[in-house]
Amino acid sequence: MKYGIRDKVAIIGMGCSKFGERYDCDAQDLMLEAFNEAQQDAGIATEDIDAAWLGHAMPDLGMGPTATPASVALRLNNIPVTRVENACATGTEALRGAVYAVASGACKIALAIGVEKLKDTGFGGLPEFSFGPRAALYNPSMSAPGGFAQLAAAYSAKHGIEGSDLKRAMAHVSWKSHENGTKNEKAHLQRHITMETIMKSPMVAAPLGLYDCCGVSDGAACAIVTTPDVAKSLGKGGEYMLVKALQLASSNGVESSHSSWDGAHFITTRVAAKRAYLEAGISNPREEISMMEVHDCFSVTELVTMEDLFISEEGKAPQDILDGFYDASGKLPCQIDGGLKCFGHPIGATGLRMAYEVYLQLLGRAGERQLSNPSIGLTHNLGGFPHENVSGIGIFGLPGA
Amino acid sequence: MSNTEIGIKSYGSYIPSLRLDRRDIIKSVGWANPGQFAHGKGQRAVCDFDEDTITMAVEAARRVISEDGSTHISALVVGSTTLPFADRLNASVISSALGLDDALESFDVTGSQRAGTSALRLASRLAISTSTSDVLCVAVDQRRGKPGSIVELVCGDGAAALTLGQDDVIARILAHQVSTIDFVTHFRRADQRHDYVWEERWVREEGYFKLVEPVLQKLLDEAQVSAGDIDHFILPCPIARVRETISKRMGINPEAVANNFQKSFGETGAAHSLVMLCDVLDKAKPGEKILVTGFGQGCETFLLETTPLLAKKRAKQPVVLNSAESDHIVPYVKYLANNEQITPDFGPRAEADRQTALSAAYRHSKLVNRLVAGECPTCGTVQFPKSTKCVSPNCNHNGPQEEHPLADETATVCSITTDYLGFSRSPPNRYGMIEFTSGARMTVNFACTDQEEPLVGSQVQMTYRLQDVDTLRNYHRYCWKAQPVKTDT
Repeated sequence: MKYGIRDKVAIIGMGCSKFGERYDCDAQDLMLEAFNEAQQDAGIATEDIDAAWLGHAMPDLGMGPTATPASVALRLNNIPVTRVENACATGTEALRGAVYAVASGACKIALAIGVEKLKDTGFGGLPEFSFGPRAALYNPSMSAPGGFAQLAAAYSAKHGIEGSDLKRAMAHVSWKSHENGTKNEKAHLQRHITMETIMKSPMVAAPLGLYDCCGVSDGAACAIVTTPDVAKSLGKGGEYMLVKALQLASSNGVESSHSSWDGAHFITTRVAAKRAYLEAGISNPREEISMMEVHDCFSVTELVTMEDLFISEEGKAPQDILDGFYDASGKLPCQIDGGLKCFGHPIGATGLRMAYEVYLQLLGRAGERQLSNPSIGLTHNLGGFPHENVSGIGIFGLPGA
Repeated sequence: MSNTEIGIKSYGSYIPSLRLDRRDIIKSVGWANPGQFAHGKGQRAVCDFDEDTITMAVEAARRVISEDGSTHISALVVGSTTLPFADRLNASVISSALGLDDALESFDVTGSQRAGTSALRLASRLAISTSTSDVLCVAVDQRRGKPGSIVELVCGDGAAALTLGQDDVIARILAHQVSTIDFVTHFRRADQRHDYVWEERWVREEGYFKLVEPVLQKLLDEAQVSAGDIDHFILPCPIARVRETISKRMGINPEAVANNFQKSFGETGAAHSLVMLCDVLDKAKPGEKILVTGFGQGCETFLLETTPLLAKKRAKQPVVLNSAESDHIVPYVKYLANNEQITPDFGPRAEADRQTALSAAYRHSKLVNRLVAGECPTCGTVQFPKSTKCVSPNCNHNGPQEEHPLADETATVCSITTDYLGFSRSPPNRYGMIEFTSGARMTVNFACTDQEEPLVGSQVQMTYRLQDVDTLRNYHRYCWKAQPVKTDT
């Protein structure tokens, strides 16, 4: 590959706030919680940071527009700070900004921080998104679960799988993440939930029940990035992870307006995955990847994503899931930190939270949930609805992996 | 009479499928006025939460225009007492949903229960002036009374549509008579929601019995037709035995008194004369004489005669289809909420601002009101919304696309969900992606969310409905929703 960023950027420090209903905090407090951890981890001074990217998707609920509130809250040194937003893929977008800045040689050390403060709405779930005055004229007022629930009916029809069988595989997705979440003290939800409870939970958007949906959480996550050479000069030894690939793919209207899309998969995820595997030099993802953090906003999203990342064969994700392939004890653990489902989903922070878990696992810092010798981790972060979205994929590895 | 022969060319009706059980009204609020117990029988038709007089008018009109697809409509007359806008031509909303020509004469006829027959009168006079096009006449009403009132009990919601013209008529207009008398059976001031109604006995004795007969007699005399020759006598009146008494006094055959559907869907207000006419046209033989009468601030009546062409141009959905007892029932309290007579707690999601950008609405009028998609002149792909860059991978066409309206196309369900979280004025919300016969894709709302969720792969058709209500500014807008293709015809 002639162009790309493989192994050009090192993540030398990461931090993540406790996720959850942080009624005690503003977005600014959450950022500081994550930033303090990352800065201590990286062992750098604030003055060492040359540029920063803030991921903040819902400023009306959080800190308002621009990146200035982050610059103020973290007392940054009058450096360039940029706010990015790409719906629920915002966290990955912030990381991409910082990583590209370092890879381009424009700066030595960059900061990516993502935050969301969602629990000041007064109601459960996410608020409705506005798509502007034109779309309002004819679009249904769609909730997030309603947008994603449609995957299930289309997937059932495409693969001839009974709705009840699909529902069981979806329930296993959530069950597994709840099991994993119990071992994560920063997770929003840390309770064991039985398959029966999941299957019988109240309907939110058919066929998605309450336990098919991820938590709506407050939280922040943060990464400090630099070049591998600077990492070494800071005395990091092997205590950093390299960015192997960072790819984004956005819809171009084919899903929503062209008859070629089956409604049962993400075109963007497949495109981004192919590019990311090429950039990272991965030819057999099912064998080569040690762990994954994917965008399980809803159980059915994770299910189809297993196929879109070319890990499960098309139509075979339900079987792999029920076989425990993606469980903590399985061949390729997915959502070992609990995922969006249980760690929580503060929108702007989520992509960075995924990278945080990969970082902890690769560096052997994951405590009770530590996997045995993972070397390559993948993050998949999705923004938008199945029929129009942006999909971001990161691949990270230990030096030499 | 003019020498030009004017007549009805096509007809159709729309009665919402939703029913309110009158026993439910009596059971819930009948205690407040025990005098109304006698009216607690049968069912009445009601608009769903996303229907009103404009959407019913559009649905009725679609049924007559699709029958007569080749005909050019040069004028639209809408008769009703319950049109939603007092200052915004309601006929223009209907016209844009039907895709009628901009060079249209259009009128809202309102203010009386005879607005339906007045609309027919105006339409027939407009038809005299054009031999190359037809006039569309729609009568529609959605009368609302206070909970438990006589109006709530006896009325129903519905619409009827006719096209009028000079050639190929199925019923000729032979004569017309009218009187204008300020006789007040009930009234509703412009800023009020509910009718105030005077005693039924007075309305019967001084109104129907004294004001209808002279006008009918004058019509018969001038047309030189005897009362005994009338085959169908149409007079909407929910008061018992009025129609029978008038027909007996005048010498009209008792069998000629037309069905008024009081028990099954109720009196559809200003639309009822024309709804009853549709039912008569569903079964009349050639050469039969029909008396169509409207009552309100006087009386208005037409004499029609059917032609042999009627047998070939009957409505595909006869009125009588609506007369069977229905199991599509709205509970009374839900009906009250749908009509803003009670205000349940819709939750904090209902607080979101739903303002309509009028500038954007006008800019996208065709897109919204006719679902105009684009057809790529290079590859032929039909795409919604229309754009200037073709969506088809590898096509690369960059330029104007042909207009391709989707409102009358059928479609197949690609994906669907029933959503209990997102805001709806009648939860659950239901939406999904559909693919039209032409290949165009659209994510749409579904109507009739109280019915079973349609399966992926099933057929749907579009229906014009209320899309959104802005309670902050008292504005609402319309768009098309999908509903399962009806197979009962």
